[in-house]
Amino acid sequence: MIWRLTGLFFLFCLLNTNVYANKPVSPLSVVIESTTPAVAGERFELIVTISSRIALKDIDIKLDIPSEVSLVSGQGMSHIDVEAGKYQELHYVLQLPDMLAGRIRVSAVVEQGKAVRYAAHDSIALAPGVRRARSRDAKIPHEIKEHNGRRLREYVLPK
Amino acid sequence: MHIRQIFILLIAYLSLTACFHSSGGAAVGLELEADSHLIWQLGEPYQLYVKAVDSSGEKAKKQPEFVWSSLDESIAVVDQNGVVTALSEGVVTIRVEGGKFKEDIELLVDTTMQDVHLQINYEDRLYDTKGFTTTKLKPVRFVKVEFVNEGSYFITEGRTDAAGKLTASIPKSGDVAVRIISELQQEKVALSVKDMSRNYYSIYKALDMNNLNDTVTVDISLITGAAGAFNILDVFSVASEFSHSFNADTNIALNAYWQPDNLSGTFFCTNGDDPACVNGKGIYVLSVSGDDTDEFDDDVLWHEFGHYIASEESKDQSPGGCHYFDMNDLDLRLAWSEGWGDFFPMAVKNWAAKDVARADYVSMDSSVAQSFYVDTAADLAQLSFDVARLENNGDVEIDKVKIPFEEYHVHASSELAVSKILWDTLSAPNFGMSTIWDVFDNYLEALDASTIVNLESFWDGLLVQLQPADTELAELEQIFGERKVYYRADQYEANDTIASATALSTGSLQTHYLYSGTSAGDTDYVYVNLVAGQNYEVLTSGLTSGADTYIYVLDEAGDVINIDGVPLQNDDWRPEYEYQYSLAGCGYIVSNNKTALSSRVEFRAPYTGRYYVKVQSTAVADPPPYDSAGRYGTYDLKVSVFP
Repeated sequence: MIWRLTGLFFLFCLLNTNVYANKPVSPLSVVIESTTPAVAGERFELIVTISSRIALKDIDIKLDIPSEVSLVSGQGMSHIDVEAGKYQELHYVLQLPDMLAGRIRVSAVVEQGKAVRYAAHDSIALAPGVRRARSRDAKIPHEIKEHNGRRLREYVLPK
Repeated sequence: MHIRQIFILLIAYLSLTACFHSSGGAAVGLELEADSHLIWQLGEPYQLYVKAVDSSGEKAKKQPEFVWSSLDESIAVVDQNGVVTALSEGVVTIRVEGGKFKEDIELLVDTTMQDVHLQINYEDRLYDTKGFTTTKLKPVRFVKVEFVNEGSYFITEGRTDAAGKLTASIPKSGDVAVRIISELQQEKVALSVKDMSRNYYSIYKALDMNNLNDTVTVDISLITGAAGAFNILDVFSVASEFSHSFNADTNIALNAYWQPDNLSGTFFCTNGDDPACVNGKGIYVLSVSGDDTDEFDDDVLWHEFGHYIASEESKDQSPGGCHYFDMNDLDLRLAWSEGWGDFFPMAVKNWAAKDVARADYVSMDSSVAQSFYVDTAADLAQLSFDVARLENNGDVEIDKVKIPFEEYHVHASSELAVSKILWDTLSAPNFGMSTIWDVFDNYLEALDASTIVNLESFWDGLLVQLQPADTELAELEQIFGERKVYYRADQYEANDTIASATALSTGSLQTHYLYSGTSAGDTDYVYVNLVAGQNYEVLTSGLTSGADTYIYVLDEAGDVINIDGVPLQNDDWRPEYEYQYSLAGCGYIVSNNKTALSSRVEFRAPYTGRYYVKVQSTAVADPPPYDSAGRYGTYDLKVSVFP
């Protein structure tokens, strides 16, 4: 957990150190940690940390799991409050299927009146040896080439 | 021989061997770029390339002198640099000899051309206030497209039009491909998107030469991994058109650097001084693996473009750094800069909605108010807010301090308050975006370098550029006042001289605005009756909108009272740590909070009678970081009996 937070802290520093103009930042964040490795057919424990720079009330927490995974303990949907600068931890125990596939995701959403909405999420891919997988689609490989005085990062489409 | 000497010789031998080996071996043959070429223009030079290669296929260390010849000079001639000039149609062999090797190249000279009609699209991601919803093909507008033959020889180039269409004349024979490059050029607009190694994004597609009668459609889908580059170009192109609708003379030249799985963050750099700005000036759209990416977050991209256009067409003195959009106590320059950035996407969307021809410019669902700003992470909106409806926000708590909603997103030190003021000015029938742009482009840009640019400067610009009538001034005061920014005379004005000083009772609190009705600045005089031998405290508090007070206690003659050689005057009395505080991940940031720059004088009254308190804004010449405050602002004044 401490290393994850340290990593986030480093990224945040990188995001914010002396750069001319950053985009606005949301105060809400979600981090999923597993206390046990994901093993097919075994129980899988998760700790979800929801933190906020400002006090937020009635945050909707939603756990999304593949249909083959069952929730042993913890609530699939819940509502929590977080004090300013503090965090809340939620614990989940899941029963994993014999074939690991799909993704476990926890999202946190809170609305302040009709004008402001914060959301954050984190996910873990359920595949052996994969701690965290990208949610984006696979990409066409590119190659770097030089053409007409320009260096190109070129993606070739099928004819 | 000593073992050490043997070792050194061995190292030297290996180094020399490696050195010679890496520079290529002896030539074993010639290598052509292609065995055959198509030439479609008569009289135009066409370069052929050859090199001698070694046994590993690498360029040989020693290149022979090449001798070029044409076997039919009625069709084409070639010079000794390999440059061919076609003279008539037909097939001809060009021979190149180097050392003991020779190769033949077949040239087809065919000037028959045909038109090809292209429709180029990219897959865009649409969104609403909760995140991405679906995707839609949108035209790739105004970008550079090259036509090349099989050997990647340049044939011709063009630019797509506003509908993503392009017609070009290409050779009928041979194979032709299109190369769509992330470079956009229009009159007074030059945009590019590159990766962090400064490579342009390029989409290469070979054309089916047997099926060119119909329009050829090229769709750059999300799965290519390059569609984001063309969305960034499109978003910036729209922003450029928006900017040109107010000032057609603006030269826009902007590079964006987009590369997922690289560094982190989306930001604008004015130059390359910062380590994060490795490619110099430009907008950086970066993300580490699996993290938030912004290439389809149009509002974020327009926010950063807002910073760019402010740096080019206006004046922006933001120190940068941390800014949570809920902060109420920002450096006034930062609040102005970020407030402008937050407002810019809303202004672009509002402008786009005024013309059906621009309907495709906006990827936000049409049911969502233009005053919404949305930033997604994966498919969820991690941050969305509607500046038009901030008043319904509810109470919040920041750093254990409960803040009622009427104190949230208010004052000139809040970026959302700035954004709301700009939005309300845009929405007001008497003003609109033209009024805002006039101040932004003409007034602010013309300010000298020593003038601090913030919401106060914008207000000053409104007065100068607009010369508002009384009703318009009242409307502006209402717009600013709704966010608790009071650039107006308070109820005690005019109290700018001792003669016009107003009364203050000990123990009572008065709220004053450091604004007398003009941009010239303000001095407030109050008088209070004190008793000799009694201790008193004169204190300013409740400082908002960047107020930075300076107080003097004067006698009845108007002179600053000295007690034991110490004049009764004060600028700031609170410790510096209240003004600069450490925020996790941000280092030290300044805070224009309600007390940090307040003033206080404590003294024993030397006589019974009338005393004057003179309050004015601290001189603009305050050194950094204290220049984060403003010239105007609101403060409370109290004179209390002090034990």
